[in-house]
Amino acid sequence: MEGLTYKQVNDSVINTLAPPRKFYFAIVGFFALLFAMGMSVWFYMIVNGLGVAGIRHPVMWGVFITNFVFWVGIAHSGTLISAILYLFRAEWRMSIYRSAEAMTVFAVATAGMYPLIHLGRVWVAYWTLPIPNEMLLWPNFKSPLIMDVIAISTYLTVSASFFLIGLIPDIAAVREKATGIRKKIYTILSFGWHGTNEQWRHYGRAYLFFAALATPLVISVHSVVSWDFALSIVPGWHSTIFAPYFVAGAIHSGLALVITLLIPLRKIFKVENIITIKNFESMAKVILLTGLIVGYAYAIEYFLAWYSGNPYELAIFKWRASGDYAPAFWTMVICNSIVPLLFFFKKIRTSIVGLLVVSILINVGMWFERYVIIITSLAHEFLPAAWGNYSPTWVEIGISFGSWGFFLMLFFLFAKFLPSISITEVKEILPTPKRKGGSNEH
Amino acid sequence: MNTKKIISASFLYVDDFVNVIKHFKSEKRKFVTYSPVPNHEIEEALGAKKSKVGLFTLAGGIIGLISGFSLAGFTAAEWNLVLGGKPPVTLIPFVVIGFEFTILFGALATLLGLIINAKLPSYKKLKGYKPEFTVDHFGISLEADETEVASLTDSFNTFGAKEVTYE
Amino acid sequence: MNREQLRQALATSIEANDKSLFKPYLIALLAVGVVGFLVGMLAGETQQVMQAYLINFVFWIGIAQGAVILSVVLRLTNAKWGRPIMRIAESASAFLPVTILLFIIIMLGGEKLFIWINEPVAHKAAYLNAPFMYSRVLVSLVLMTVLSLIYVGNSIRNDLAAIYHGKIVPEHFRKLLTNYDVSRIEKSNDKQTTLSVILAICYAVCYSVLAIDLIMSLDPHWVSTLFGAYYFIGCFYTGIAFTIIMASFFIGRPEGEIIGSKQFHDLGKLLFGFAIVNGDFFYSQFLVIWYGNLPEETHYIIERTQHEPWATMAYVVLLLSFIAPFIILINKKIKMNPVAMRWISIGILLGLWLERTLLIAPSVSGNTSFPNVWIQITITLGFLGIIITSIKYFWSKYPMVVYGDPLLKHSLEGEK
Repeated sequence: MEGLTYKQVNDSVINTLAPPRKFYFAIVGFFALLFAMGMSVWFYMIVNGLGVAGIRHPVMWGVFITNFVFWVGIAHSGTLISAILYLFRAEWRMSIYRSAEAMTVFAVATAGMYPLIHLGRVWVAYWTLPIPNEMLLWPNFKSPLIMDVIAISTYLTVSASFFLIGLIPDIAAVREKATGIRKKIYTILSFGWHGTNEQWRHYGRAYLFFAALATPLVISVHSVVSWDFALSIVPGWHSTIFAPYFVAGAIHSGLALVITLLIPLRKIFKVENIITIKNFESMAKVILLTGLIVGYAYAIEYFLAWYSGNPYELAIFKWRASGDYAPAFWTMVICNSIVPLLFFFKKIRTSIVGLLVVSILINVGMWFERYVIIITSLAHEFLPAAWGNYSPTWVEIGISFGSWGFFLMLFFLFAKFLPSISITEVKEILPTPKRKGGSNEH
Repeated sequence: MNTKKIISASFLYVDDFVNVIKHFKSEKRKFVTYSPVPNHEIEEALGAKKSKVGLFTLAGGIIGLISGFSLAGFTAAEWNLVLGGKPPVTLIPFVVIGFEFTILFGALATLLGLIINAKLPSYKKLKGYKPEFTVDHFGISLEADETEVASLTDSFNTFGAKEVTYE
Repeated sequence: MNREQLRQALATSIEANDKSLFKPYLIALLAVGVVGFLVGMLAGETQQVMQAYLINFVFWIGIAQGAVILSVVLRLTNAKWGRPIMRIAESASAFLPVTILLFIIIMLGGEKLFIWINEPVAHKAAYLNAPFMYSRVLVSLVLMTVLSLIYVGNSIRNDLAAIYHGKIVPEHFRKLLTNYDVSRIEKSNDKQTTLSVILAICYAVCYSVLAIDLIMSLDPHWVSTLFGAYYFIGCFYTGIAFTIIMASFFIGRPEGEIIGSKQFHDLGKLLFGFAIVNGDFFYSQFLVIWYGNLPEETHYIIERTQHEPWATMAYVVLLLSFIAPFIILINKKIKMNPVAMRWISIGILLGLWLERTLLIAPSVSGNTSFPNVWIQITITLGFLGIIITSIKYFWSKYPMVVYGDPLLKHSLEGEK
């Protein structure tokens, strides 16, 4: 980013919002179509009942819950980059955090749909909320599933507000360049931001506190998701390491998806001078760390399954590696904890192709991780007589692709209508313009 | 009769800008500054008190903590049955609910604090604001008598202002 | 403080070559420890002595190694703010070689501690048997010590090379600086980064092994998958607290002049963060076990949280290691005050020490009676004496600022 000025940053980011070409409409249209397809499959399922999905006894949580955990995980990287790294004053977050944060909001929204889909009778979803009713019934707050409802809705609210707060000064900058109806919309969205000293004074504090609140929140959310499993006594689920291990896994997959999405984005928007290879390299290093943590968790779970002397525990771990779901299991191990080790080599973590390949593989691996954890444990519980396997039907696959359509459609719309790189914060890390020799100190 | 004017100057360099702020602060004049980025040197020169937004966060957090525990405890006591071998009212799992409510209320209170303190949203046109102030210019505007305009323009220019306007 | 002033302060300090290491209070501490140990043994309280010894062993090795890992983390994250306190954290490494010797006593008295030595658990015998366990622990300790000493040694050599660049090297550093000068610092720093990664990985693995072998296996039927991570995170937490204590003693010394309130502020934030992580790791285990309600897991918790005297102690631990630091460290002014931070850190260390007691004592003594307080205190004081002696030795011998580190410039006057 050396040698850029405030104005250049301003212009090149605002240029990304220029009226799109036909190709853009084609892409958004395609994803919208995919989303519509997913919605119609869901409608088909609502009409015909959950029986058309592959979930049946004993595996009552299938691809829907797998997707749920996967998308919540994806969401985590955004908050990591926007809040945690903000507290650590890591400069490399500045140019990437906006898109990561947008991803968070959309991913939580996507994830939030899955428990609703999984409910079957989605119109009674409000039963999970504490609403006074004539039956004097209340949700059971001791249930991890209800904890999850609270955690996910808190996360959606907080990350969406954080996202909007961060956008305010940027939208004010966009407002000044826009014309016509766009100008009106951006004026409203900018909340009347003018960058006065009073506004900045309160804004800085509010942003800091948001970051400070979002940091423990992000850790708690995936912990609560992990407790959906760990608080039961199902072999392979009941494990104390689940909470930290899920959090690390979430960041692992989330950062990988950030890389996967940002590589084409920076190319299309021609912002290679703002989102640099150095940004990717830093993300790759964090991925290396989370990959090692995930690998540690795999290893320690296997070792302690043997050490515990619990035959059920040991059986499920043996079966995961050698039974019907062994291919999924080995995909998960290789993609999540072995492939990321390639990032030890500077050549790979600084090459676009290397980054793209590894990050896509990690996402495949992380999806399979949730799949393996959920399906294998349910398929082989305590009673061999009650064992049974699971495979998703076209309904579940259709809805899954539909959710990708939903997520990517939102992301592409965001990239065209809102500044996908934080104008203000990128300016902040540029050398302060000074008459007497600029410096990078702040 | 004295007519009040809003005089507004823009600067390209932070060091010039800081000098201007110091100058007008020592003259004890009221002024508004504009900046495209938050900047420590400008903040230091302004020497404003720390924002009170934190108090909102704290209050929200505490209210949230209490509400979370109370909600979980109250509803459990209302439905007084042993579920899953757990006593109806028990603090251990309620920590999660209490925690989430702390964060939720804390965040919403911070948002409220920002809106109240920074007086957002305000769509009124600010006199003295120029579009460049959100791009790359640092701006300062102050209210002055018509008679002062010329002398103020001069002093802005000696500090290296790029442009001085008044209305 | 500018570069030249710092150089002179460091040169003066290391050339003084202070030999008066054994101050009366240190001798007293060591003597108290030895006497407590011997009297306890002679009085037939072998198990109590060994228990107190193990508690202190796992506590103090964690502190020393945790502090070194703090330096490793500061290096890996390129933390500019942390450079002035990096060497202070590294100085705890002087205790590491001693730990290997200290472990011999555990090997000698292991029978009194590890119930599975005399009553092997059938399906775990392949892992839980004395020779294999002792060799695992020894390998972990030796590996961590060697890696840490190489890491600290390389760092010191760079600093000495920078301090004596173009100057006459004092006699006792000549050997270290043979064929070495500032031109090799850059390459050495690259190697240090690689070594840091290796150290961090080995730390996680070795300290998980130590946690399982020295603490979890005391109750051979209890399992928690997070336990290893809980221990090494706890050690890192104590390492930060200990670094704060050490750094607070440098205020007022010439080398300490570059340590400002900023360093304490950031260390305080780190301490605050790890108070939360440590609390989170505790809760993650506690909630899962409480919820699952499986007898083979819950007995461990019930013994420690529902039976006196442990129940009271459990609340004290919670207060000292999580609640109190959490509430106090929110305040920015306190975090920037070295003396306040010293006392908060001492409180945290006390909390963690009690926590190790809580993990170990109920499993070893096998009853709910309180451990012999005199044996506990004397042996703790002895360990304290050993660690202070080794650290003071380090302080008197080596430069206490990473003078050769390129990022130190951000903390020096007149440089950016």
